Amino acid sequence: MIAIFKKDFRSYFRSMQTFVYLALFSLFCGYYACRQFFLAGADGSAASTLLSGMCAAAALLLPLITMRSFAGERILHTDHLVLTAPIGPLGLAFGKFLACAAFFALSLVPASILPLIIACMGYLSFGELFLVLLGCLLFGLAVAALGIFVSSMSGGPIGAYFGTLGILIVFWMAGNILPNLGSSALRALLSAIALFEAPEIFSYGILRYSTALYLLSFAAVCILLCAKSLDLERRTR
Amino acid sequence: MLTVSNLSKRYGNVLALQNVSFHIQEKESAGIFSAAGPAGPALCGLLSGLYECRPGQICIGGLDMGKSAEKARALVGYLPRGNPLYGDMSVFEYLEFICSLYKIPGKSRRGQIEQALELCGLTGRRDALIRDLSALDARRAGIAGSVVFGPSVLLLSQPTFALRTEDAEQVRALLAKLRGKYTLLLLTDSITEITELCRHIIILNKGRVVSDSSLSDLAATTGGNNRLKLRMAGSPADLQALFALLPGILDVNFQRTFEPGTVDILLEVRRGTDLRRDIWALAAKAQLPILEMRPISVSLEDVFLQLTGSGGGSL
Repeated sequence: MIAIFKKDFRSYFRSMQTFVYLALFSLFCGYYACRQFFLAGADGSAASTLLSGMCAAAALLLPLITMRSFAGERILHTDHLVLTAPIGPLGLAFGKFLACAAFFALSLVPASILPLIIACMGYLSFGELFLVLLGCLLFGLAVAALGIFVSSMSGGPIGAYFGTLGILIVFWMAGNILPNLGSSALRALLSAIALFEAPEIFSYGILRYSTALYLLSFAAVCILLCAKSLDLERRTR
Repeated sequence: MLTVSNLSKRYGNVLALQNVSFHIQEKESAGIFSAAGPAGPALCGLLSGLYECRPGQICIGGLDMGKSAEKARALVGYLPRGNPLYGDMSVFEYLEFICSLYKIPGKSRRGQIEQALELCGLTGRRDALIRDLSALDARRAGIAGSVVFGPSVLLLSQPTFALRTEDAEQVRALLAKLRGKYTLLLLTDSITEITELCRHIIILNKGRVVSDSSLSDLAATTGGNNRLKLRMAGSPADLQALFALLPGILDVNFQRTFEPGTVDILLEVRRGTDLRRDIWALAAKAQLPILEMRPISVSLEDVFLQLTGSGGGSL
């Protein structure tokens, strides 16, 4: 698992795609921070808008990183090298997830430069900033795990990207559009699984453990499904 | 060392392997020769642990691939067809990754990597990126990756695939060095590779084992009857009458030639009989000139075609 983690983590920094992602992610996060604190004026909802903007950027851009995790190797046939090694499917899936998670955590550093400057100027408290980053990190872990699972089932990186994006759109709709259409029971169910709305509570300065647990559990379920998918593929190839 | 029992593999409606069984001794070099089709890749996928082996059983070093898959896979050094590698890694990094993947302790890792680099002639290219290597060096890197962690069985799928002739020669020379150090199992469609590198040959036809013998036994059984090819001046009728006088001739086949007034003859003669002097004497007496006479030996290509062609059968 450590071997897979190191190999994937290093390979992220040897690809132009990664730097495009870092640049775009930092740009988006800086834009949202700038818009809220300098253009719209600092108010109570600024941190919320900043967090939702960062999560939207992560949802759009992180699948660009996860799409190559299994699907990219499948195209190059290098998956034969890891699948014939003495490593189980769970170890393989978790190693790739750890690499992506570490990379995403690292990508939050340039993305948080502008918000940090704003915090130093007093427009945003450090506690709020910390919770915004924590919320974004947990959301990113969930998206990364989902992306890796979809990549393990896809024939190619492009399919993996759009597959992940499609599922994220469904979750976004579950939180924003579908609750207006159904009954209260449906609304309750959809709000429970709403992925995009889950981290919002962090932007209000509240560290809710149940939300953190939900996002981590979502990631865990995706990783388990990924391991199952790899195992099933070995049986049915 | 490696025992395969009643292995079968199906891709949808296509039965790639049917009850394949064979045994390979420790440190033996064996070749699996298969006609075009899914049998070879299917067998490779099963032996390497890429596919689950069900139905059937594969035992490597006493470990059942079905029950202890991870431990069994740790004993197999696999070079996939086409030699897929990570182009963004250097040769040293790639070997280090393989050692880490196969859980080689950190202390002995460097020594094993240096050994593999030296064995495969890559010491001077250790820091080169794999994507910058020549096709030959990339193949060497692939082979180095399959031996660096000290496997018991080396499974190589078409190791000279897509290489130029001179590069393929060098790869075969490298594989000849590995013979005796590992149990070598080569999946190939090259007769040259089989005869140069392997002592045990398994021939597959339509997913079944049609021959499982040593190279020397196969060569001996291919001896068959002797054959002579002649070009003589004369009519087929005269020549037929001539050969009818000779005992020991089992079959006569006439073929047209582009030389006017001549006929090509393929004689099948009973094994152990040499009729060349008798034929010469009779032809001289009948004044039918012999323009060409040479014996034809049965080659392994002929054997393979016989075993895997439309009339193929077991030896």
